[in-house]
Order: sequence, then C-alpha cells, then structure tokens
Amino acid sequence: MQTEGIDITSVGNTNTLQDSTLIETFNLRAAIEFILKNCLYWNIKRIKY
Amino acid sequence: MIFFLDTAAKEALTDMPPRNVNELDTITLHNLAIMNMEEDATGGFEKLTFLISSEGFPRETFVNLCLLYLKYEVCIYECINKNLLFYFFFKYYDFAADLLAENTDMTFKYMDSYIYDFIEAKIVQQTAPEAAFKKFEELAGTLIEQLRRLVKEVQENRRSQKDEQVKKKVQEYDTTLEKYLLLIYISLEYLFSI
Repeated sequence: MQTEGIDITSVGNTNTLQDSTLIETFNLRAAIEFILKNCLYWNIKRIKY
Repeated sequence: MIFFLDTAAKEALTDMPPRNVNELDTITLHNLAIMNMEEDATGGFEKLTFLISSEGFPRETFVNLCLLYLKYEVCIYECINKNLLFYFFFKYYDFAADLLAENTDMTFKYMDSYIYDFIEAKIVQQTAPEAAFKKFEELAGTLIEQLRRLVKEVQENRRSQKDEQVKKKVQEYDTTLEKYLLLIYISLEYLFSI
C-alpha cells in the first residue's frame, strides 16, 4: 500500500492498535476538521451575500 | 483557508496507522469515501455501496450515499471522429431513486422525513420540475413553521434564564435556517429558468 507516494506495510488490526484507540481518535479529528471546514464555508457564504 | 481545513481533515485520515483496504473498519472506510469524493467520486461510491451491503455500517452511510448521488455527476465522453470529442455529464439521480426503492426498510430506519422528501423532490425535479417546485414550497412552509416555533422557544427560555436551552435552540434555529435557505435557492433557480 502507498501513502503520499511512499510504500508502507500495514500494521494490521492488532490488539495493541485497538487498545490505543488511535483509529477512533484520528476519525474524530477528521470529523471535527470536516465540520469546521463546512461551518467556515457557510459563514463566508453568509458574509458574501 | 478552506483548502487548508479540507486538507487538515484528509491529513487526519492519512496520519492513521497504515492498514490495507480490506483491514479497515467501517467508520474509517466511510470517512475515507466522504473526504475523497472530490478527487475520486467513483471510488467513494464503491466504498459506500460496499458498506451498505455489509453488516454494522455507520447509520449515516445510507443518507450520505443518497445525498452524494444527487451532488456528483459523471463525465462520459464519446469520440465521434478523430477530432471531435463529445462530453456528456449526467448525475446519479437514477442510482438514488433505485437505492431508495430497493431499500425501503433502510429509508425508514436511517432517514428522517425531511431528508426523504427533499431527495424525492430532487429526483422528481429531473422529469417534472413544476411538481418538484410545489414539493419544495411545501417543505419550505414546514421549515418556516419550525423557525417561528424556535424563535418563540428561544424567547421563552431567555425570559426564564435557561442559558443551556437557549444555546441549544439557537443552534437548532441555525441548522433549520440553512435548510430553509437551500430550499429558497432551489426555488429561485427554478423560477429563473422558466
């Protein structure tokens, strides 16, 4: 698999990964950034019109 | 700034410990599909369609797939002769209609009545714009009533100094107003086109 052009091997779904809750954290961060982007987009639109 | 925040959301997903696609959990797969729709709409639709056919998918998947079918269009080009290329753009409206018709159980389970009516009107708009316009007006009417009710509730809560309730109602008012503005925009678009 490739991320940003670099070959990386999968870490697999290990118990350590599950215990670390890293996946949930990154998904939450992505969701927050996505919502923030949309809020900003709407606010800019409101100012524009 | 928008670009920066957009990449920030995508970066959060690429910063994740790397796993193969078949090892991904349902939430990550859903988020990857949503975040990369602009670059790879077909791939995004494949991921979301796979998700709704599997068990235990995030409950937002079905609604998101229906709404994205209405948003994105496919570009198909045909080569008439060596020099002429014809481009055809079409949206996935038929896909959305089929999805709703084939999954009535999911429609009742995951979709609220407003979203269902909105999607239905958007599909109808392709063949009967006037009927869709009436439907959008009806929807706008119900939203106006909701907005009036929310204004009253905010005023009542302010009087009785329930700050948390005021905050909640103001947020609800903002989201309802966004929905209402979208309907107004669609109605105006129709009125200008006739």
